[in-house]
Amino acid sequence: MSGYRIRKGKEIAFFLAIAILTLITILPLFHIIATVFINGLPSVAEKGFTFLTGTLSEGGIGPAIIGTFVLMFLSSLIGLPIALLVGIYAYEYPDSLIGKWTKTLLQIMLEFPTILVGVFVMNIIAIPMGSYSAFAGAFALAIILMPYVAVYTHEAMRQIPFTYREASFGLGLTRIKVIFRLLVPLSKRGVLTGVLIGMAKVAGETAPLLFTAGGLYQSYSIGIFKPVGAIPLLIYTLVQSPSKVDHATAWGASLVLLLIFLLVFIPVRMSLKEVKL
Amino acid sequence: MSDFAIETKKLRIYYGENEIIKGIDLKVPKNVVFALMGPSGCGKSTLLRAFNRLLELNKEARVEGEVLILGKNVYGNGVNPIDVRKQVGMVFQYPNPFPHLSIYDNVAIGLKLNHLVKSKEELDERVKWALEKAFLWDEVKGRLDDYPASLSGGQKQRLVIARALALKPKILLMDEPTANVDPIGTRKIEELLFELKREYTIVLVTHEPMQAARVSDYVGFLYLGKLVEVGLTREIFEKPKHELTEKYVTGVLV
Amino acid sequence: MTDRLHEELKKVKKKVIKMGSLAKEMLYKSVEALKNQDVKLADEVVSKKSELAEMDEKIEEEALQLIALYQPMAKDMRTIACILKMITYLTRIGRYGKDIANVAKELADKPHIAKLVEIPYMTELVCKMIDDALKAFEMENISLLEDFSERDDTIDALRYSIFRECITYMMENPANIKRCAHYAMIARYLERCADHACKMAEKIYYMVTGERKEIK
Repeated sequence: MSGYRIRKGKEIAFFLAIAILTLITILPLFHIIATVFINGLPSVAEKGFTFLTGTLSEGGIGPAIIGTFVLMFLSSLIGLPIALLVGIYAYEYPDSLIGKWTKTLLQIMLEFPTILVGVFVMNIIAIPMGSYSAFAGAFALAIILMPYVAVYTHEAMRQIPFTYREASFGLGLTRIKVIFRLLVPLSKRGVLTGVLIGMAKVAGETAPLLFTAGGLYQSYSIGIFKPVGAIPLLIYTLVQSPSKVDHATAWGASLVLLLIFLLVFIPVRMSLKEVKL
Repeated sequence: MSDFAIETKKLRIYYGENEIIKGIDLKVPKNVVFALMGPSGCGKSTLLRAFNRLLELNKEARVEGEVLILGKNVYGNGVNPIDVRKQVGMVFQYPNPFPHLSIYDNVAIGLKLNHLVKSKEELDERVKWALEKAFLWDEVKGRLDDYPASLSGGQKQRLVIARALALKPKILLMDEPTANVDPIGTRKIEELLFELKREYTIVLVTHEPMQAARVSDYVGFLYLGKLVEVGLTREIFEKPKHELTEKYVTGVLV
Repeated sequence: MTDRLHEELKKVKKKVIKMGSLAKEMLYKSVEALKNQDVKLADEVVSKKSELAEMDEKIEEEALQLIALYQPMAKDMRTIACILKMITYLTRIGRYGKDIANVAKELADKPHIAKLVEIPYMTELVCKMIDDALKAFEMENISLLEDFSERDDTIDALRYSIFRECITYMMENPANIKRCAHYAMIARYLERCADHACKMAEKIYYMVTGERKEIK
């Protein structure tokens, strides 16, 4: 009887320890979200719709929002096709030299300090072209994006049970057709998840943009080879200013960024559950 | 043309260093159900996959000897495995219709991607034909656009059979097709085999001697990579010649 | 699962052997009763009839259950087929014993015409055949069955000899006709029992080897 009690006691103690540790881990996350809402909401509410559409001098961050979307679009355009192909290649030829190297390289790139990507792109694009540009920023973001998408694609493809691979080849199809017409569509949810996570990731990146995108907050003169703004970059700039107004705008921008992030991320997480084969 | 649907000559299969199939000479007559039975791990599925060169998906596997499909060695020079697989359809242990394709597209996909039909009408016709052949048409005709997730295990397996039949193969390989199907579904698939053998040669892998006894015309007993005994089903189950076969069919062999 | 089958099969085989002993005993004792004009023993044999019938039914039921439950194959299947046939033959043998016992009661009132030498001898031979068949069945040993053909020939010869002897007595004295007709019938029954033993031997041979062999 007492042995049972001790065991029961241990069980409860263990459960409590896990619960507390879990709480400690997730508390900061909720704290961040709460702080952003508390500080950001008043400044957004004060300006109203202008906050989303106006230029910085009008008290809005419109150009930065557009800039973020432009950068996301451009970096996806550059990065996605390559990343998908790399992920598929690593899946299809896991034992080849290139396949193995690709996998290792992707792991390294995932952990790579993003500021170095910024410096690198500045050196090869921004400096030779003589100006910051949306293209340079997008290119830097694409480098950040690619390993995410490639790794997720690779993982998603690897989740496909072998039996579907056999079934596909069993129909007398060429390898190209098997991969692109059957296996990639089969794992499209997983691949899409990777794509969206990659895009959410680049939407929040600051460091690679510091030396590449330049920043554009006072007008909507958008062009691929012109400097462009981005919300995280704007926040970074505003926080460095001594002005209280700028700080308030920075909080507002943080809220918008968080919402964009959550809007992309939550549906992705929800759809993850539905992935079934 | 050969008299046999499948003939193997000194067939040996290795996984890395391990010899899985140890020199098999097998002859499968046309238009029969030929059952390959044996305990788990005896190499049945491996042998089956050598017939349509699906074994090549496993990079460890290596094949020696010959496999003649309708008289032609599929391991000969210049033979494209893709052509072999079009001739030799396959049904798997796990009912694996493509989950992201509709019932219709599951049957149509092989035809579409291999460009075997010229028009939408011809495609419709062939899909219907294949589903009818697989005894599935009446059960799915009203919901061809549904996904296979809505089908039962037995129906899924018949969908897979229809998918294979659509390409009009000569030979159908079945790797324990009822292992994951309930008894009623199993009975339907077994009945289907009786119909299909009029036009196709079926090689059926089973670990269940009873199934081999019920549905096959010939039986091959495979044990530890060797073909112990081959013969007419009714003879093998009444009076097996080899002691191992006797032990296997009476359930003494583990 | 299949080990259960083999356990059950062993049990049923034991029952068949028990039934065989009963059938043989009925046959043997009926001739004893005839020889010693022992009405009590004859009654005892007749009373065994229902026991034999029950065993027949019970074994058949159990054997059929084994088929339904286990779908036996190869030797297991042949054993069950053999059992189903054997119990029929054994029932026939037991019932001939009962028939002879009934005749024994009828013939108990007056002394036997001759010494009946050949009928008890013939019975010994027939019972030995039944015994050997049961042993062969139990031990799955077909060497015991090798000379069944010749033994059956001997039985046939004995039956014919008894038949001729009886005809002679009948011709000598018409009063003997009824008794001698009975003797001839008994010889005929015994000869049938030997035939059944041969049929059993065929089934046992099939059970053990899977081959069919005619014993005649």
